[in-house]
Amino acid sequence: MSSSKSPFATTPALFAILLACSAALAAVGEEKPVAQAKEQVAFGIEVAQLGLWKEAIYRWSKAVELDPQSARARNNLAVAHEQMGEFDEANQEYERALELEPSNIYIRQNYELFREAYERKKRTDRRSGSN
Amino acid sequence: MSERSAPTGGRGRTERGLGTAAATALLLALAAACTSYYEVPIEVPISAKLDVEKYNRILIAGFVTQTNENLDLDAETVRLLRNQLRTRSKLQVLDADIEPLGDFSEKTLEQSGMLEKFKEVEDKAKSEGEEQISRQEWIDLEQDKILEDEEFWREIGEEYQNPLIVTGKLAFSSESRSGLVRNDRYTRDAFNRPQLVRSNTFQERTGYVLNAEFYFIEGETGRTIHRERFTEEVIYGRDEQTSALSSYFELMDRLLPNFLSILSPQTFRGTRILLK
Repeated sequence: MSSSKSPFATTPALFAILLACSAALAAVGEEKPVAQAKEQVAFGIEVAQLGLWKEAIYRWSKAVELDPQSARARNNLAVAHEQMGEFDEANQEYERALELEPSNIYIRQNYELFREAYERKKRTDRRSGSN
Repeated sequence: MSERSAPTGGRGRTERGLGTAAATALLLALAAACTSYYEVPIEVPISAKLDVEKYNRILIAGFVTQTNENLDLDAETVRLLRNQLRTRSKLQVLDADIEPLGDFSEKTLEQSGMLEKFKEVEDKAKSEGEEQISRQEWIDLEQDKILEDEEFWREIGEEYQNPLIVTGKLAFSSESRSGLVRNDRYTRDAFNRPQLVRSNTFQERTGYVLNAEFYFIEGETGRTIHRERFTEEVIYGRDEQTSALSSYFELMDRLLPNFLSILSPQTFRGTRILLK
């Protein structure tokens, strides 16, 4: 009796390995932008600490592009827009950050402080419009 | 700028035993350790509303006033604005004594015969079947006549080499604000849970109201280039003995940043938190 193995005997195992590999690759593929986004967030903080807010905006915008679900990147981007006097953009980013992490006390605190300044600005803008 | 590790959001209080509490605390500590945040100072620039580049000088020309309180609203405001602008704007503030523009207090209106004049106008309107205006509306119109007299302001402008002129209307009054005031306080129930207790109590209070409308006039043409109105109110309890003058200063302190933001860029300072 020949003990010849069917060439397809190993197929299920091979198939399983291939499936596992592709799943792992897909996971890595998903995680890579997230990891890159984190790098951009960290780098943005470094440059912001040096007062380079325009570059910080660039870094955090990139982080948001890489990981649109990053509440931290959006929070930081909002702070940078606020610092630059770009209130509408800051408002938008704070709101998106809070949508993503509604219970984050730091984002909430930033947003509340920002709203004070934003409301004041809107009031003064309205007043000047009444000329 | 400082880096801090995040504080734990709360303590794991559970009846299931120390093991669960310890695990919760550990998880929170781990979560906190993973979150680092950086407190950064920020300065938010707010640009001036008026472009004052072409004016080197500014003249606070006085105000038409309306108050029955014991204070010289015109003189106090002129002095205060001059001092503030000297330290907080780039414009050269002119020291000039200009004739008072108009005092519309009850006493002055009566002494000057203005009230009689108003009565005449009122009677005439009544006899001719015209629509009547209130006394305040009439005062406003009289004040507008002064403030919108371009010829007058052009002459003042010429006299002081065409500065930016600041004038306007000021009204300061005290009003009763007595009434029911809501008191909210928190107490703890038998299970140590916080509970909100609401109650209303009657309080005797006095409110001081300051209405200011500033006119910014181009000295060269006498034309009003910007106008802005502010209203501020402060309320005191019966036990607080506060003079009209002190209240006026309190209200002006609130109003000044907004007034200054018309002429010079302002910066709001604060701190924000960056998250890693």
